[in-house]
Amino acid sequence: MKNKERFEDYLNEVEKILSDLEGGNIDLEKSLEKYEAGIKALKKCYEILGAMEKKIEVLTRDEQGNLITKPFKKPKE
Amino acid sequence: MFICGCSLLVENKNTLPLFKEDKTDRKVFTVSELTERIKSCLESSIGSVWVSGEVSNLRQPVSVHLYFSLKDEFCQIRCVLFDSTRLLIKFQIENGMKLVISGRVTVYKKSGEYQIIIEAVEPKGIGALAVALEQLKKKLSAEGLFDPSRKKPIPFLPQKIGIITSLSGAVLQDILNIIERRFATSHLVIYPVRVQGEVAKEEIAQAIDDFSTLPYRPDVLILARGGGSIEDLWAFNEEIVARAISRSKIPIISAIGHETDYTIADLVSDKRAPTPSAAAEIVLPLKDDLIKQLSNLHNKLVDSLKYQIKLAKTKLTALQKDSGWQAPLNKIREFYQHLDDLSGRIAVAMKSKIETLSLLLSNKASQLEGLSPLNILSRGYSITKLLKTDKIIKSIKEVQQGEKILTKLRDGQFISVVERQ
Repeated sequence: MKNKERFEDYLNEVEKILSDLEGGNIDLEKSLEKYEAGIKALKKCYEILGAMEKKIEVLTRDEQGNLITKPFKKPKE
Repeated sequence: MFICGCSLLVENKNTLPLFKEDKTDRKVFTVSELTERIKSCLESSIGSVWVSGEVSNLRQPVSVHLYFSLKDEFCQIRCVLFDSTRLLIKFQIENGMKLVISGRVTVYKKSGEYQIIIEAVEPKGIGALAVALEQLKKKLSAEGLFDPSRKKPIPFLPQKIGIITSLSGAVLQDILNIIERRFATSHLVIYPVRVQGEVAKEEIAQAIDDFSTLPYRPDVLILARGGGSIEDLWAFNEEIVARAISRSKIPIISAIGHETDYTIADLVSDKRAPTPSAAAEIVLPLKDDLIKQLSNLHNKLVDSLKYQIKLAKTKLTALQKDSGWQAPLNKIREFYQHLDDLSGRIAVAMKSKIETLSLLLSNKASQLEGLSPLNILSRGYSITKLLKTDKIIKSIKEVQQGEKILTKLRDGQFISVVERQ
């Protein structure tokens, strides 16, 4: 299984950075570094959101019994 | 049969004289014949019955058939549950269990014992399915399948969602509609299965297993079925489904029936949604909320940096004003003041010193004046020097006859010659 980039990991990173920044007790230089890291992680979040596409598939088996995906068609009522 | 046997014996006793007297009237059965007669007598006169009682002496020999006695306070009857019938029963029969059975009364010819061949079994009081459910629950719970520690976390934003449910019915459409509303750009993979009937459990278990084998697995699975009776939902109480859920590599949200329905699948799954619609609400956040949250976080980041800068500035200003920081300057100022002070004092000191000195000087001057030879001369003394060397003559030995000497008086001098020594 591929190592997927998870939205929530970046989101948590931003939140952690923010709480560090809001907690004070770090010097300005470090704050700047953290800010930049935060913006970078935020960008990743937007990237992941942007890469998501609407797709509905049906997983089924073909005649040979192999798993295949087909586009989903809404069953007629 | 026991009672029947007794009466036969009694009859035999009574007819004992007859037995001796008239041998021709006797009808002698073989054991098999009699047994057969008893058997047909029992089967035709009693036949199928419903009996209630408590299970005891339960045993299952090498064959798969089940043997036990059904008893009450005073009596017991042997029962046989053949394998073909046993498979239709959802729960396990245990000693001490109170049952209502239906079966045929018959005779086991080999041992001459009458027994009931069971055709249907129901636990007394509660339904069979409820008992089966409790039994499976107990078993799986003992194995730890319901342990919270086994539950996989549900991802916050799954990028691919697997849905195991029936293509027919409103459930799938409900889920699709809700997901469309919450997060239109989501990737869904539907695995159609039957959710009712005998094959349902195998199809559901297979679907769960299949998802785990995919090269690009979904991040989460939804296992859904609409509401129904306990029988309708039964597939989700089957052990095979429970095992498939527990070995799934993908976290599973179960959404079976209505809010009040709790199936085994709900207990094993990583999260239970009260209804299929609720599962769709749980599985994805609202995209709009997410975007709002991100922009909120962005603002907060910017604000906090601004605040940090402001804080640093304030600190700097405070530092400039800080007395500690000011200390060296004050020292210098103090030093200057001291210097000023000192120089003032020096000036005063010097002045008085000069005054003292000049007073001393004038004293000395007057003293000196008193000591001046000229002063002495004025009192009638004179100074005599050798004219040649200008040396003051302090002894007679310093002059010779005929030498010219100079004598200084108060108001002039004269030269004379030494006449005699």
